[in-house]
Amino acid sequence: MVKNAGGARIGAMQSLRSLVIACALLALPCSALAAQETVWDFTNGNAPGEWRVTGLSPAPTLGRDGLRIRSSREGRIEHVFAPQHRVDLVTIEYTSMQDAELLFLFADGDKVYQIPVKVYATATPQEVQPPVTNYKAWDPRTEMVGIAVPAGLDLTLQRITVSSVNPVEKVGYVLQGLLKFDTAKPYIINFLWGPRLVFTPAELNDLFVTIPPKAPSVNVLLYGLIVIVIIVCVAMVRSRKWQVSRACTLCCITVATLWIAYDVRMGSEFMGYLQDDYNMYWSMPPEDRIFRVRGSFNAYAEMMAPILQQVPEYGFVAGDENYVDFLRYITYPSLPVRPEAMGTGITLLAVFNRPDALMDADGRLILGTGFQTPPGDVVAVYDLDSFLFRIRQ
Amino acid sequence: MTILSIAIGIGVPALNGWLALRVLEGAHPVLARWERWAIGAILGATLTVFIQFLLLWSGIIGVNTAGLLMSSGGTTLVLGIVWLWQCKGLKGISIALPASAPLPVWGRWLAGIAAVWIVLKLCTGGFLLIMSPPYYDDVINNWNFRAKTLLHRNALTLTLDRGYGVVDTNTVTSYPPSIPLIKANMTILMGRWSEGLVNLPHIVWYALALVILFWQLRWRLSLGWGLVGTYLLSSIPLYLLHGSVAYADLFLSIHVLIAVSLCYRALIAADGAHARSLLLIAALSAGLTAFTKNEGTVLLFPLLAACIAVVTIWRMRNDPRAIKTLLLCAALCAALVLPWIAYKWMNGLGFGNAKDVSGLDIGWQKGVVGALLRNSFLTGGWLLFFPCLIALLVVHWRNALRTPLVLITGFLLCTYGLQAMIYLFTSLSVEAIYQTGYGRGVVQLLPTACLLATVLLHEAKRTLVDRHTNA
Repeated sequence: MVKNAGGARIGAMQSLRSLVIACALLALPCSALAAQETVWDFTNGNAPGEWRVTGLSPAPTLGRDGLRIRSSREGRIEHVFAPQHRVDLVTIEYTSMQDAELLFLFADGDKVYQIPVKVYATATPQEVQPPVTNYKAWDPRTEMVGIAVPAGLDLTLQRITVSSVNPVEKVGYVLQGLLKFDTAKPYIINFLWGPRLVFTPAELNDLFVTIPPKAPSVNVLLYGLIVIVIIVCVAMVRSRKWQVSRACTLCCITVATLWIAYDVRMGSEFMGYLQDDYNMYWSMPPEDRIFRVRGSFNAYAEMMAPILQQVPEYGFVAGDENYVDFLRYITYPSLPVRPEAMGTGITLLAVFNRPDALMDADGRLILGTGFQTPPGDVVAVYDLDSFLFRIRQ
Repeated sequence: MTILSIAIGIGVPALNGWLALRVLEGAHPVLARWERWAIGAILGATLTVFIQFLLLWSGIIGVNTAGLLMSSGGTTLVLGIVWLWQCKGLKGISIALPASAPLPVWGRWLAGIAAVWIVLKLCTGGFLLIMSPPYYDDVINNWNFRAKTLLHRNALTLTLDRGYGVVDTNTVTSYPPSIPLIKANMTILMGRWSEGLVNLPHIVWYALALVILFWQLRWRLSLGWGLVGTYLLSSIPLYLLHGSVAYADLFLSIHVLIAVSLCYRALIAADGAHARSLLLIAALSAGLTAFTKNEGTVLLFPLLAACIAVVTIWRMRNDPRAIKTLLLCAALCAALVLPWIAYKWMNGLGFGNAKDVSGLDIGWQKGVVGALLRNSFLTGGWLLFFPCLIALLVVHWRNALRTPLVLITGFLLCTYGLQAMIYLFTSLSVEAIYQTGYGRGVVQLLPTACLLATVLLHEAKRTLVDRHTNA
């Protein structure tokens, strides 16, 4: 019996060794699948290929820092090329004088598609990667790429790189995607997206930013894995190599393992909410507190509430009317009213995140909508756009 | 002061619940000692504020210290007297759980690791609930806000000031005032509004949901399987999230669990007197469901009442005294549900949840099937619960449908089916398409579904072992 057990163990070791060698041999071609890339470099006055300019006035100029686009009209630049490799990733390097939204353009046959891309004001070169593979229309063998810019933008394009992502890198991004957590957004009370499958850095960056996430759910992969295990078990039972009980046990262990791993993943995401709240809210001084999607509103409300609660009604104006409910809840029974409805007796006006609010020389508060108050004074300041204004009696 | 507020705010209703359960059990106790306290803490909280609601409605009391003393203290006094008169002492008030083999060493390790993980998540939820500012819409517009309004107006209210001159009528004011009253009572005890304090009961209810599910499983299964089921419920992310948010769905789900599981125990009880005790407690929980959330009144209570009726009628075959139980259950349910319905009817309040049921457009709704499937199978909120439960139901359909388990299976299928029908055929479909209502409906059924899944899983294991032994 001992001899037999030893023999079985040696057999198992040999099988394992064969498996490892087979895996290594299978993995070898991956080295040949290294990422390939094509770079269009506009720096140092280079003109990388032929780029068609449409609508931009004045025309973009090539300089040491790249292609400067400073147009008073909206327009675009496009490049038609013969693809040398698959394109999974597009990287745009730029500097910009303003925050803006560009459109990345690509063609699939005769149709041209556009993907919104945000650029930020920066003097040092930045990269942005439109999540092209998230779009069904994306053609990895596209023969045209381009950029459409809004009027008035001052942007310097340094490089556009199109590249492939090799299978090993994709596995890496899948693992990073599994461990990227969503934050505590208002919708989580109704559903949690859970881990998603991403294969490129652009998809990873876009994960939980675009709602709903374009990346497929990891559940698809898990169901596939479970189905494969079930098929293997059925095959082994049918070929009389395994007993039914052994096959069922393997199925149960597979599901239980996936369940526990999933629980750990989702539990960690839940703990991530706490970590975010600690880092951005609890541990910060009151004036610097940021609370989830509401940003600095809670810090503002906590600062103003003691003053607002001294009156039965107060005016309130904010960049987003959703804040009315929150401020009403915090200051109740004191109630907010629209600034236009502030009659006699209502002297306090809470202003939150209104860059258009200005004071004239007489002390009147004037909003961008044209609304203006009688003369008064700012009695509490959170920041330049958020403060408390009291009308003089 | 905070600790005193918590102790009295949660402790007195729990005592009321404990007394109510003892009165209903009478000479035939059916609950274990800690199980009675856990169930008592849930049902007692609802029962106490239900009595407070009756007194407020009649104008006898206000939402203030005197009113709280009269309603909570009065309930304790009345129930205490009835209990003392009925039971005459404290002896023999609990029964022992079925014996279970101790866990093996590896099982103890696993249970220990799972316990640490659950406690970690529980603490995280507690911190989020107590320390973070109010964040979700129904907290600031409904549950917590209505508590503030009750305190400010010192009476039940049919309108809510929403600010900007908007006054809500017949929207969230049609919801039962149970949870707002619980929060108002804690504030009265504290002497001032404290966001952390009024949110605290929600995480306590989450912990109690786990404890109650464990006890319900233990009556049927071994210690190990009780722990498996408890872990199962604790691992569902969306249920945990509802434990850390001041919403009512989790609270409602515990009432449903208590009613269904006790009904099931009554169905399989060997002794008629024990079945009577179990059915009366189930009726108490079912009746209070109507006072917990609007879905409780229009959807869950009728189905729970049907379960109780079916079990009682079934027991009539061998026990002619079951007719008396049926009448008692009916009277108890009527006493708990009719006042609330009368209040709503007299004040013209709607019976729907997001929309009044009478105002719903009927017809096939596009996009709902896809939305339900996506939410159930392709999001992280349920882990792999839906496919696993469906697989268990398919593989063990005989156990699920041809044994007393059919009560739980039938209840879940009917309730889920009705919820799905509402989304598929009425204008409430937006709640499913935008994923704002569907998940909450599932949360309300989740502990009961975990109970069923665990029992079926146990059956699966038993079948496997039997087959292996026979082979």
